[in-house]
Order: sequence, then structure tokens, then C-alpha cells
Amino acid sequence: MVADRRPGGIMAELTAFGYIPGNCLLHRLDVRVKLAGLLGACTVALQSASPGLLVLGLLLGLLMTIQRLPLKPLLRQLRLFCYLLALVWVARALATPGVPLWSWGLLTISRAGIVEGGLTCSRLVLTLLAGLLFTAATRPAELKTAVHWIFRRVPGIPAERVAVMAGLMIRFFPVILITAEQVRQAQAARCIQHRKNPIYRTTRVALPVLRKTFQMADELALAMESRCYTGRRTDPGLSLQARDRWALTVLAGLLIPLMLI
Amino acid sequence: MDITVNNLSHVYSDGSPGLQDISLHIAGGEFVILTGANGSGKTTLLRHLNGLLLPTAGEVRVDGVSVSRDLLRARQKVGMVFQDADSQIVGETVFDEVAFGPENLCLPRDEVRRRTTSALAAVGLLQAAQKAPHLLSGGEKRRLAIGGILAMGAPAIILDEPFSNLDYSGVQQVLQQLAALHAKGRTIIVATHDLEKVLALADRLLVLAAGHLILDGAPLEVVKQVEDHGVREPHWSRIGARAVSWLN
Repeated sequence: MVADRRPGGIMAELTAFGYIPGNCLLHRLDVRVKLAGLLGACTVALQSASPGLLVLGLLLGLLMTIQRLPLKPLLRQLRLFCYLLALVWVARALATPGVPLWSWGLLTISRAGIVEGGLTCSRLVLTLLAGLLFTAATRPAELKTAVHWIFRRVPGIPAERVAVMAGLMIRFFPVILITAEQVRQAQAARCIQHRKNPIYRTTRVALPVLRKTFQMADELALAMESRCYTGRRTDPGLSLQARDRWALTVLAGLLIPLMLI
Repeated sequence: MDITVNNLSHVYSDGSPGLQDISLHIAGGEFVILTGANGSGKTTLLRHLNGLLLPTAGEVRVDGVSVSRDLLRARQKVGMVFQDADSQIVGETVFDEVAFGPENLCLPRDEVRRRTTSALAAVGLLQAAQKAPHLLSGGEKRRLAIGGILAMGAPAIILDEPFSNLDYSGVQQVLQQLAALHAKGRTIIVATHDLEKVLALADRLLVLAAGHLILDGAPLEVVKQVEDHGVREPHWSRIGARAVSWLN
């Protein structure tokens, strides 16, 4: 398989959304603290009223500045998400009953709908920003460690195996997307676009991608076996430092009141 | 560390023969090239050396211990680099990828870190430790795979078609790595049909055809007969020149 390695290639586009190496505040925190922060921020984003959302927005904005997130590439990546937001806003504005601001035939936009739509979009944006901050400051290996830490307390679940599977999922997602893109281009080179039936076109792309994915999974299993993988592995080391305790206290102090607003 | 193959035969699950009555001995520190046409059984033989496949008849011994009896020991002693570097990478960063093997051996965290750092230094990838493996070049990916094996402390390394899909620079990177490891006393076994690139570095050449070990001897003696078995003779050998690898 030949991956696109040009700076602006498929891989570069995919990785702009993932972990961004650095040594900022969030990078240095224990992954469990970051996970707790993410859960707290998402809870606030989904259930708080406007004042809570505003404070959360300011907090996330501050963290994004501290983390020096590259805004331009991120906004480019979020293009499609912005279209989705616009759709959500329009749908809410049209579907929410209230005092009409504008109407055309059966379509009516209400003031309450615009406010409701804005609120829903704010919740989605804040949830996305919290997720972005988390993924930008957390190496997939740390996430794997957190998964292991969570599941090792649950009886009947093989924590090591679940953690390795989570890591492999993150590792192989871009590879599968690249395979799909290569197959799509190969089919386009043979004029598949002239076939009007979308089911035919989809199956002609999906089947080779599935075949290649299963083949890769087979080869990976063999490669893991040859490197002595049995399911038992070195314990991932996690320890809460003083800064993590401080961060937890600050997070609790900020987010719990926001949840109650 | 010696590898001994005694009367090894392998029959695939569909009943077709893979290997037939192969016997050979590879001494510690040897650099061996295994060649043959596609389907001659090179990969099948390599996979028996670290227990990924088990014999239908005969046995493989690593340092006197049967591979079938202690699979983990065999896999720790004989590391394998697969043909497709992309599909064997497990870690999300270069460091994690190399640490995967030592972690599977349940070594203490500090020892995992020490071995991983030392292996990355040995393959010249220490600076790329936090990079995503899929962003490495083809040659770097092969070196990464070799690093993963070094971190497990394997005294023998087997490589299946290590030059496939590599450009000139990638081939040179792999060759330099192999030459350096061989100089440090590691056993190197390379399966390839591309003798031009690597034969000059080898101590011994094995030729497989239809699952049989047809030829086994010094490279300069055996290479004259490889074209009878579907492998191209290197250009330097055809014109009677001195043996050169792609490193020269």
C-alpha cells in the first residue's frame, strides 16, 4: 500500500485533527484528569443554560490559547462541520413554534427558533472544542492507558486486550481511509463515474476496501503474534502528580457550579 | 545462536505441499540469503523459524530447543520483519511501536523505556520517537520494524522481502542497518528474489524451488545457477565482475 506522503496529502489532512506534540499545560496533565475534564465540559455543554455556556466558552478559549492550537488548519477541517451547524440552526429556526419573524408559504422562522438553534449550535461547538483540546493534548497511547485503567476495575473485561484494541482502532482508522481513497481513485481511473447506479458504485468501492482491511487485519494479527503478544503486557504506569491534583480541584471548582447553573 | 531445521515438511490446509523434507543448519552470526521464485516456499520456511507456522513433519530447533515446544522463546530469539511494513505497525507513535515487543514480555516499565530508547538509537530513529509511524518513509518504516525486534533482544532477525516497494535510498538504509547488525554478531536471514541489492553482504545463499531446498552454499558458487530456478543472476555476476551490493 502506498500512502500519500506529500505535505498536503491525505495523511497530513487526517493528522491535523489528532495529537499535536507539545509541552503545554494540558500535555503535562495525567490522562485521567484530562478525561474527567472532557466529561465535565461535555456535561456542561449539553445541559447548562446560556450563562454556563458562555463561561465554558471562555474557559475553552483560554485553554486553546494556552495550548497554541493551530486555528487555521482546524477551521479548514471544520468546514463541513460548519455546514452541518448551519443546517441544524435553520432546521431549529423553522421547527420551533413562536412569534414569526419571517415567513414564506409554509416556512416560518420564529424568534424562539433562532435562539433555540443558536443554543443547540453553541452546545455542539463547545462539545467539539472540548474534544479537540483533549485529542490535541493526549497521545493515543495515553488514551489506551486510560482505557486500561478504567476497564481493569470492571470484572469480566480483559482490560489489556480492550486497551490494545482501542489503540489499534485509532492506529488503523487513517489507514482504512487511505485505502478507501486509493480504491476510489482506482475506480475513477476506470470511469466508474459513468455508471449511474449508486449501489453499483458503492459496492465496487466497498468490497475491495473490505477485502484489503481484512487482509491487513490478518497480517497484523500474525505480526503481533510474532512479537510475543499474548494479551498479558507490562502495566501502563500512571501516577497523579501535585499538578494533577491541583488541576482536578480547579476543574471541579469551575465545572460543578456551571453544571448547576 | 544456532537454528537447526530437521526434515521439515509443511502441507497447507488445502492439502497442497508447502515445504518438503528441508534440512539445514544456520550458525550464530551468519548472514544468509534465501531465494527462489514466487511460491517456492520462502515465506513459509521463514515462518517456521519463529513458530508462526508449525511443521507437518520434522522440526525446527532454536539453540537446541524445539520451536513447537516453546513458541514464545522462539519468537523472542528470532524476530521477524514482514514484507508489508505498514500492516505490521501496531503503535501510534514510533516509540510505542518499538515498545510493543518489550511490553509483551511483561518487562518492568523502566526496562521497556531503556530497551526502546536503545533500539531507536541503534536504528537512527531516536529523533522521530514521537512521530506517527505512518508518516515515516518506506526505508524508515523497515528500520522501525527492525528496531522493534532489537528491543526484544532477538539475536536473529529474519526479513521477508525487505526491499519491496523501497526506493534507492530506502534500500540503502535497510542494507546499512543489516550490515551494522551483522557486524555486531547478529544472525541475519533475508528472503528475497532481488539478489543484486544484497548478495554481496551475505555469507551463504539458499535456493528454494517448489518447496525443496535445491542449492545451499557460498554466494559466489551458488549464484551462477539461480537462473535455472526462476531468480535473476545479478549483473555483476553475469559480467564476471566483483560482487557489489547497493551500498557500494
